[in-house]
Amino acid sequence: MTETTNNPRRAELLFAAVVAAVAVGGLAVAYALGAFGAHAHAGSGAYADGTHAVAVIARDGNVVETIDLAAVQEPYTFKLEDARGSNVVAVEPGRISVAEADCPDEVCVHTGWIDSPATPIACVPHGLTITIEREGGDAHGLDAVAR
Amino acid sequence: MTLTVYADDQATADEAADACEQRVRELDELLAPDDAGSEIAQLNAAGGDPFAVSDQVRFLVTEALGAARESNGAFDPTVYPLTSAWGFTTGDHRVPSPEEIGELRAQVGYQFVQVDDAARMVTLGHGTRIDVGGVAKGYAADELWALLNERGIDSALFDLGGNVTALGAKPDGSVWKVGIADPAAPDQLAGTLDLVTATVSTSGAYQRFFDEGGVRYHHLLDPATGYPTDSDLASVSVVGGDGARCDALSTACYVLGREGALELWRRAGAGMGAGGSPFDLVLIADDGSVTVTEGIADAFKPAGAYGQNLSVVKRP
Repeated sequence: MTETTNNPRRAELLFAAVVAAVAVGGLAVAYALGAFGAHAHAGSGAYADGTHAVAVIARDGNVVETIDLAAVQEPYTFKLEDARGSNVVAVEPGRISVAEADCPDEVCVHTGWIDSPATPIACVPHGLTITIEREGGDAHGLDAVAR
Repeated sequence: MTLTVYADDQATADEAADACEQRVRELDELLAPDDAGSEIAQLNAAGGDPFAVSDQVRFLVTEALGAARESNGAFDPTVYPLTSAWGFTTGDHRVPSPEEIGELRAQVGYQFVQVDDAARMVTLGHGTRIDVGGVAKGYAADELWALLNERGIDSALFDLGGNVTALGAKPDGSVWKVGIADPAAPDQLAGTLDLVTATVSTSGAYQRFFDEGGVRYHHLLDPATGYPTDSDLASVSVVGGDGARCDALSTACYVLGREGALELWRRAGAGMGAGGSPFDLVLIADDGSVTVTEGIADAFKPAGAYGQNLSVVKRP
């Protein structure tokens, strides 16, 4: 499997993109609308194509934690700390958020719950990103399927 | 429909996504041939008299006729009465009698449709009725693309009912990864395509079909016979810059079969296609072999057993 080697690089690229956007005055935003229900399956973390949602938490582009959101039974929180400050991460079945942070802007907290690859969470002051990837099945790393 | 838009701020992304959603709704109302109020339904009800249509419907009819000419009728927007008789427009599937198919075939023929741009009229001669659904998803993608361009957005991905359009690359500069459904097992993949600024439109018998009396009948009718096409292909994916054209040509290529599809590809590449712009193909045959045209040979990665029976076709 190539997942373990892929994750850090992908997280890093995403983080670079977010930082670049912040520098010009905003935050990179993905907007998804699932009129035909194809996109998010909130609350389960499992997708119809056999894949499931995995949260990838990275600090300065290096993966520090991966959480299979489809395997989460009970909600829980944990704290991530380094010299720059702390972020309290909340996890529920199928979704993840930053519940509290001591960064100045709290953009990470305001992003709220995420449950699909469409929206990342970034705490730029702490160098922290949380992204959702689809794993398993045949759709790993795909943006869409022509069918 | 899934739409992913990357913008510099949330307000721009939200506004752009709302505009796109509204545009898709408008097109839906304009184009549904089974909705009596739609412009297409009114055109079909005009009984062969010249009928004034909006610029959009006239454009769509023109696009559809262009693809019909280019494919020598393998794609034909006037096959609609037959598609309807088979129940593929409503889901009430049935096998029409040979007599019924014979009668309806007399009403099929793109050459009977006249577009008068100066008078902004379309005339359906010879009892023809038209459905621009074969180009509608691709056209919708082209329209959304234009909407986003106006807003300075250069990174987006749309999935309009299985037609996938990439605008630019991902925000980090990497390519979009788009799967192509395995026609033998549509919840799995036959391969993936690396995509930047292009539409992928796929047609295959697996998309819509019904079984009756032990026979499988699919929705890709051969306009020449009125029956489901007996193609040597299981699916066709057309990749190109013009969404509406990709949409129509995926149907045409399926009906033409492998050799006919490659001939269409060669003609377009040589500037001999009636509609012009070149495109590329992923052809998955019934025997499990995959043929990819040279323009996307590097971008296509086959999955599983499809990797063992892959050939690349180059231009002469």
